[in-house]
Amino acid sequence: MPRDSGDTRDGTVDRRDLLRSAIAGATTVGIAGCRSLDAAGPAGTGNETGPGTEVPNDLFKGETLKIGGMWPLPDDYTIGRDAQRGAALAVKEHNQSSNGVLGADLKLLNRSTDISPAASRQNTRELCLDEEVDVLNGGFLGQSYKLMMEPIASTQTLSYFSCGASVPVVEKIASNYERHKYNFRSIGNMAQARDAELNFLETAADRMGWDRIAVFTENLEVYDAVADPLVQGIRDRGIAEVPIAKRTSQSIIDWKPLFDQAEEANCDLVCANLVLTGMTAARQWGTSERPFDFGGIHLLAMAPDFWEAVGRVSPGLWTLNMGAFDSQQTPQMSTMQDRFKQEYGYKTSAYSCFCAYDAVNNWVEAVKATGSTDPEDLIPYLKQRTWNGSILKPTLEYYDEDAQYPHDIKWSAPDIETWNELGFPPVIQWQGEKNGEARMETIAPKRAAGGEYKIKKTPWLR
Amino acid sequence: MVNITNILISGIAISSLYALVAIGFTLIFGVGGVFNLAHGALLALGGFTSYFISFRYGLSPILGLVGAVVVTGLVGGVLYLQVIEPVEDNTVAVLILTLLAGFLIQFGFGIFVTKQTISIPQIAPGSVSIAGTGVQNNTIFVFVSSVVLMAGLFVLVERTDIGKAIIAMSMSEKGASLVGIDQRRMKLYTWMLAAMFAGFAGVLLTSYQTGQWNMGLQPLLLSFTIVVLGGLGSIKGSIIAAYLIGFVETITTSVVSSQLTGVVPLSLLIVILLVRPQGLFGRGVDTDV
Repeated sequence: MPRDSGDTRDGTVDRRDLLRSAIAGATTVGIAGCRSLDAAGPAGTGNETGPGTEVPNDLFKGETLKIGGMWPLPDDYTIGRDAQRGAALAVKEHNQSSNGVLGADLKLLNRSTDISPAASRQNTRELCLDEEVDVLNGGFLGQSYKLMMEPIASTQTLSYFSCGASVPVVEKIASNYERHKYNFRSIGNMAQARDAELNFLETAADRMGWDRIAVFTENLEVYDAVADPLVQGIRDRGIAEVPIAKRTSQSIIDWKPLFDQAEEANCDLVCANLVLTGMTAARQWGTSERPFDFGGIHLLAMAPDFWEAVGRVSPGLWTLNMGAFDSQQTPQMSTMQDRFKQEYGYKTSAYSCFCAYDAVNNWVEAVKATGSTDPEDLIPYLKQRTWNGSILKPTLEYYDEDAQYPHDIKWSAPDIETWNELGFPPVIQWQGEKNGEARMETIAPKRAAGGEYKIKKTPWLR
Repeated sequence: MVNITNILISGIAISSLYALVAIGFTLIFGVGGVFNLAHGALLALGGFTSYFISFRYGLSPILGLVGAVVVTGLVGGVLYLQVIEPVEDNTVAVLILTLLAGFLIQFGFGIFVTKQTISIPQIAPGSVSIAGTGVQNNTIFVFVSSVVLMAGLFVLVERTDIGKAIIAMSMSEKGASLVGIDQRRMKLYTWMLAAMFAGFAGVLLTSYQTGQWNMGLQPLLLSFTIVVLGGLGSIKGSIIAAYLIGFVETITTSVVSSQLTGVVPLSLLIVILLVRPQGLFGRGVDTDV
């Protein structure tokens, strides 16, 4: 399909493109308003084609569809490594299935974002222009992804922002929808995460005795949607008093002064929303056995190697996540975990893995349904589809362009009961060790935790 | 409400750690007149050595500490003899080579050991109550070891022949030669001693927070800041600068804003250098107390 000039690809139109367009057009009309069909195939493909469409199974026979992966430091960083592995697992599953993707194989081309805006943009340009990938998957920091959005827009490449929750990214989409409509997210945004955190705090506060909560939020743009609104939410919902609320520097190596303040204020919980300083904070909380619980949206605690990395000293630490070793949020989650373990020798809890895996399947399902890899065909389909193949939540839909968060996952659990039924997102807690292995439990909501809350008080506070 | 006791304890703890981090850097500059840009890597080497001994092999953290000091001392010696000595008259070459050596060491950890976060058991677990405030034994260990090591360094340079030789060399290499000081041997001892300090500090840093293959960069910048702030080559100056930075940082975090923690060292450096460009006690290796 012809594309804009600038960062562009070859503008030729060939027979394959025409055939796909015809099929996609018919499919889009046919599925307008359609709902999901039963799941099939690799864990998480879900829907097959909508009613009234016939996409030939061998439409892409002999071809290779390319997925560009943009992972945050996959060689250095568990979050990045497991995101890449999650996507690779999904690709492998499709390639090993009887027909691939309408006869085509998938190929994953990996790059690192280097957690650098400049490197992110450059690598995205390479993938979009040089490699001419059919879809992008990944992205981490919001500042970096906003730069990635420029080559994405110029080359009109569909992209799944699967490792980052930045709200400013979706605000950029909303500000110029036609230019940035190619971006979808396969993870909740931070505002949604904050609301889920509020649900959890409201659920747990009474049973855990959290009457006074200190809120520390790392001074990163991604957490702007959490810092003040979370504090306001805790107060407005009558969950607890908040005697201390601070934004914290990424350079902190000594958390003692902040923990001292929380202790002096008789706080029962330090709600810490952290990325870069999370390990240090968790370790220093654990080694000093402070008289308060500790948890929040703690990125590094979502990683499977957190327990060892922090020196096994943080039993009781909880964090919001997108999935977990034992989460029962969807049947596909446990299938995926088993396959991941088979492939890589361990189960993962890295949110990025689940979201990157889901993004591949999300896209594949759309391609199969529309018979097209053209974003102009896929976007309308994605906006209207209800997908029941996600490993994250039972059904997955996207907000359209008129919503507050266009192309973000529809995810709202305005009350605790709905959150319990939805089972997403889960909250996990590191609960010490069992048989010499780290024990991470899914503690809430009820559906994810197996029917009941499983939160436990920090051992030295029992 | 501000709790003075907590601020005092936190300030002392972090300042002691900073002093240990910077002291090796000061020694090298005081004697050799060069910045050892491999200093951060030697800190990381200390952390990783202790990680192997006390975490991977499950031995005592004290053994890990001793092992780290020995290993970094040896590496410091090899670094001087094989890399620095042949070019020590060329300041730029020394800078470049120490920078490269530092990269190689750290990247070596990342490639051959792990790029994931490491941690080591605390040297002194548990806590005690001081003036009604809970204080971790590890914190006390950091402070006590810092005082003991600084005192030992003072005794070394003031009361021993080796120390006097080091001071003499820092004042004048020609003069030191004239009085028969074996400069090569003294420089070797200085590099080894500085590396051992770095190794020790690296272990404490890793047990305090956690460690990573590239953990040396931030301490290197901190060391540079402390050394320049305290006065190039002045041990006394470095110790005082470390305490100044540590306390201002703690007070800033506790009283002003926790968002400003990272800018404290550099801000202090700018302020002091504007008023006193040579730093607080700028001259060669100087232990006047």
